[in-house]
Amino acid sequence: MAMTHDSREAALDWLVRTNDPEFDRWDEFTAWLEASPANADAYHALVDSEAELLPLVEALPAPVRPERKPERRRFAMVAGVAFLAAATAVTLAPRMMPVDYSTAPGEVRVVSLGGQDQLVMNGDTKLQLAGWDRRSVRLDQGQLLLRLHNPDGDTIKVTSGDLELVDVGTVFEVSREGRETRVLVSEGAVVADPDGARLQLAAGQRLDTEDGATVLQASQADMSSVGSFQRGQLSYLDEPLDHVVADLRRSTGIDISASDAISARRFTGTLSVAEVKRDPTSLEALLGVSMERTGRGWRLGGKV
Amino acid sequence: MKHQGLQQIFEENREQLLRYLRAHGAGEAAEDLLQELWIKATATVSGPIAAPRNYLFRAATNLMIDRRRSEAQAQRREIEWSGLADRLPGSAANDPGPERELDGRRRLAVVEAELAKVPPRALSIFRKHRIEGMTQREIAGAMGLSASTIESDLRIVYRLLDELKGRLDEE
Repeated sequence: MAMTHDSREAALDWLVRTNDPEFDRWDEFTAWLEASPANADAYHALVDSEAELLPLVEALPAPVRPERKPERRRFAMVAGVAFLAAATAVTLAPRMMPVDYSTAPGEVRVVSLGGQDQLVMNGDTKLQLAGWDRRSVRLDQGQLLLRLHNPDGDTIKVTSGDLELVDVGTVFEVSREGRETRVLVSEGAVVADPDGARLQLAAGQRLDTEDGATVLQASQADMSSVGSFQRGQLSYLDEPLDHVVADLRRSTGIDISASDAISARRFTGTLSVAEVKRDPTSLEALLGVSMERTGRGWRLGGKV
Repeated sequence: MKHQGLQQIFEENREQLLRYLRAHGAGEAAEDLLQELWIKATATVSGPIAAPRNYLFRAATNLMIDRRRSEAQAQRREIEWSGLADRLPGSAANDPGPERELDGRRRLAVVEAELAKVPPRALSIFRKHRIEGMTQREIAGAMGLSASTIESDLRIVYRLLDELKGRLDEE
């Protein structure tokens, strides 16, 4: 493989640019690639190095830095909410025994929280309801959707690992896989980490974080995906493939996994749970990856 | 019908996409790959796309990355096949057993030690960009840094990962 020093230095610059989702200088990039086959070789060598090592970087804990900044504007309101939740817990929680709920893979279960308020559990999900009126949810694993429409109802608190969420009258979805938590808000608002970062998630926003993270950052979400698991549809906008695979496993009950090489890839589109259940190999074309049988399940991108 | 808009953009950019695929080394297969690109692009789209031209070039990039990678792997398999030891049952090439797992942990330790030498800000930007999926513009805004600072920090990490890969492959 011919690779000059200059090609590699220029390839580094192009990798920095092209990896940005907003990159749009494709014609310039084409011209650079066309200038010499060594350029494409150098670019792809860098791409492969990053792809191979990214899962290792991801596996390492992020360094701890005190970056959770309080957001002053929100202070009064959120502090009030947190106080109310705390007061309720202290006075009434001791009388209530926590109740564990779990669903099998492929099962969807609706739990009433009183009035019109609903908690929908996706498959392969474990959670615990506690506190007065069952307003305290601890998500141990899996995915839940909350529909809270009762204006007089108390706020609900969801914990996922070390992340705490307080709703402000809302419809939102929380998923937990390993140490990662994903929150999608479709109506109303949610406050993440009410005692620390106090990050307000408005309708249309999402939060992706993991236990031990020191920075919470909201981003734009694909709204059609909130609660879509209940409709038998999974919708994604530029979602990492390992999230998609975790959702599929929960929703279909089929043992689907992804190889390290492809788990950081991204997917945009809609998947039908029924279709995948009927024919798991349809994922091959839909996700654009190879599939192979592993015992009772399937492995995506499994070719070595 | 729902892909009509995308199809128009695809047709308008057909020549540039072909050139792009060839520039990546598609060679004779460029036309076939363009067809494959269109099938994949439409199979995974459900709603409107904000930047269809970017979407198509992005998909073309991923297609070429996959193609070059599987070509390289096929070549590697051929080389391994010619090694007698690897044809024996229970060899590392045929059995990704505990030895490979141990190897994975050791690789992780090497990567961790090397990453500890990277400026923390560069690593933090890299994580936000490549793991959390934030755009460079978003990171610049959130951290109060210039676009060129973000670029040079990312460059440091990409370079290090490439050097690391070279080292791990040699061992």
